[in-house]
Amino acid sequence: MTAVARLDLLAQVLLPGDGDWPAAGELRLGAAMLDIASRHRGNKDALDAYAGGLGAKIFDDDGDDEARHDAVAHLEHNEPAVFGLLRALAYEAYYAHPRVQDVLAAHTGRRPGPAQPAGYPQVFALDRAPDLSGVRARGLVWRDDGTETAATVRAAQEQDPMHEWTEEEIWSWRR
Amino acid sequence: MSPTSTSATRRATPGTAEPVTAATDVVVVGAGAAGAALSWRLRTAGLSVVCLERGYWSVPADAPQNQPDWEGQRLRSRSPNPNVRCSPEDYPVLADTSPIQPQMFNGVGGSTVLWSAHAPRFRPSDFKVRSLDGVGNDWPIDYWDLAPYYEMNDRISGISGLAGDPGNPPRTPRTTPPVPLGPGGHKLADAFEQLGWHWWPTDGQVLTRDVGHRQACNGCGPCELACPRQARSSADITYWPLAVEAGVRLVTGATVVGVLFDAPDRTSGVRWLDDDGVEHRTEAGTVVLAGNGIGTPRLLLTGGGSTHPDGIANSSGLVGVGLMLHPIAAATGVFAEPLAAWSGNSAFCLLSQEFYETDSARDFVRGYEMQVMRGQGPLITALGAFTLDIPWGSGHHARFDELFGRVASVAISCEDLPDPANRIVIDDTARDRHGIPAARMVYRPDGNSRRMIRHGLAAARRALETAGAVQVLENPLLDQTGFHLMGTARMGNDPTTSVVDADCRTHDVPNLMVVDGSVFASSAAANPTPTIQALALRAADRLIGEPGSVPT
Repeated sequence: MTAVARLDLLAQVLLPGDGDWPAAGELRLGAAMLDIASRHRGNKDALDAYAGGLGAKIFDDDGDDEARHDAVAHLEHNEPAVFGLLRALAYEAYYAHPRVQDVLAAHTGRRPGPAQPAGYPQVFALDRAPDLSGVRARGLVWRDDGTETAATVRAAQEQDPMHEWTEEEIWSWRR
Repeated sequence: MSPTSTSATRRATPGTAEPVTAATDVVVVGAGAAGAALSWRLRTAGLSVVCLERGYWSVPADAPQNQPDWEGQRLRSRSPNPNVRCSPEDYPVLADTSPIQPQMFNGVGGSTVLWSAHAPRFRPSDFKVRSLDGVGNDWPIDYWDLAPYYEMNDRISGISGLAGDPGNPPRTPRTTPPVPLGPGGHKLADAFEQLGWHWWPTDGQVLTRDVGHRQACNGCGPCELACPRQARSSADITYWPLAVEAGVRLVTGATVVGVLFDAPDRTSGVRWLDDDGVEHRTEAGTVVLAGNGIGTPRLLLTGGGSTHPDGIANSSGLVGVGLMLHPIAAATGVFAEPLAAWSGNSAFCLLSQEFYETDSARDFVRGYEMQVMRGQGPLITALGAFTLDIPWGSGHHARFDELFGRVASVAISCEDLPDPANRIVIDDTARDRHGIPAARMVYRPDGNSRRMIRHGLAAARRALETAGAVQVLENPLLDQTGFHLMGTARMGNDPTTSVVDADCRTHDVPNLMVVDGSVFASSAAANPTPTIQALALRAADRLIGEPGSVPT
């Protein structure tokens, strides 16, 4: 079995599909996982270990779904660091896949693709100004440090909470 | 020749193609938040300044968010953990002796290149914890000394927010309005209001309107990866263009490995290696270290050679000692209705400082703040983010549907008291690319922090349940949160109990200064970067002599 085939199987066990979420096995993620791993030394080392024997130990050609699930659970328990890296590679390949992005968009309304350049400006468009009247009405809650400046500033702040302070005024606070 | 790297795209600073070895008034080690601010300030006062940076420039347009693998890069080349990122310019920070892992970035802009830009200030009481509460150390300066420099830093960096917070002393109107609370933030704001707790829209260095060449935030999410729009501030796009234009010589790929002396109590410059390992010396009247709370003690402990076997400026024995982080816990509320929680800057929208100060009715001293955060993108959500528990296998997809876009989190950031057992030490079982020994982080949260976390999680749960969360998930200690590195070259008036004085000069070597988080005498519970930058600006003014008027 090739390294790519072993990764395909691993991804299928991790992400078997549900409803309109596609099964990872349909998406053939092994090659994408290899490509992602090649971008970082740490990932590459873990993948080499997997492809070089670990994968063969936990997936053989005759394994059924239950045996494969148990093998991955064994890997998670006994080699948590390797499992963590392999899971991250599988998830990254899966959630970046266009079919998965489309499902995600259908479920949530989130635009597919990278976060930029479009961003998600609706968070600004749909927002409303916070009502701060309550917290203002409860008054000053910062603690006096015992300095004369603190007493002076607190008095001024209490007298006119909406005063627009200038940098010049604040510069005058220095000892 | 620059080394191959998996990190951000690099380029040399314009006008600094040749190594700078000529004598200068000031040489600054490290081009991060503090080094940038201080270099700019000194140069505009007329001093000649050379800044040596072991890393390189990042290019905002190359930000991961523009690329298909934008989330995955956080796990690799854009990881804030140098031991994961493993870029050539990084140095190893051994941390199997700490439950909290180191987070930093080595490059122009320093760790602000990978920060989320949450920018609260310390409160006045934070500078007087010994006097007020009998714990930790007082600072030799107070809030009022720093306040003008907080303002200066806000003006240069650009800041969003809303003046008038009754939880803090006054400040000037913010550069732009605050980031939107968003659906989740509004739920938490309403909850805090119902509970009668303090809350306020957070100050953040994320611009919400176009300012000059910087575009307004468009809510893409993960500020900590970078910001292609330059809405999020980082020292490489704020201070450094101004500093370079003013004439600061910034040299990248320059790893400082030693401090030079012409007398036991007088430095004459630094010794550094370029990318090819070739040694250079830069002579200077003043040496300023700005390498963060790990890098600075590492240099002080390794950079003195045979003349300083116990470390530079270390007559107190306190270099590296008393490392403070912010132990951070998180509670995540799961809501039945969609919140579009992937949209908007992920790390902050509002802040509650209800439990910030000491209350004798509680079983801990000092306090914590509660920072409301949004959700994450699909990959980070699937991997569990801060607190989520998403199984692999047959249950994965249904649980993902329950969580993605439907969460809001409350991070509990605790004030950390200085403990001499928590420290940065040198460990030569690993070395950087130039053969310099690694730093080791030895740290554990104390009982006060653990009691604070317990209280904070209960408070966060109460807020989330009041907000309508149908489930609350907790993580009592986030591990990848060692980004606030403080206290390892403490500031104080007494040379036997501190490393630097009120002006950031080392007691032992007055023309050797430290201006990063190392000098913090207390940690407060608030993010440290604005305070680091304000301190650096003040230290610059103390070096050049007090300006007589409001500086421009």
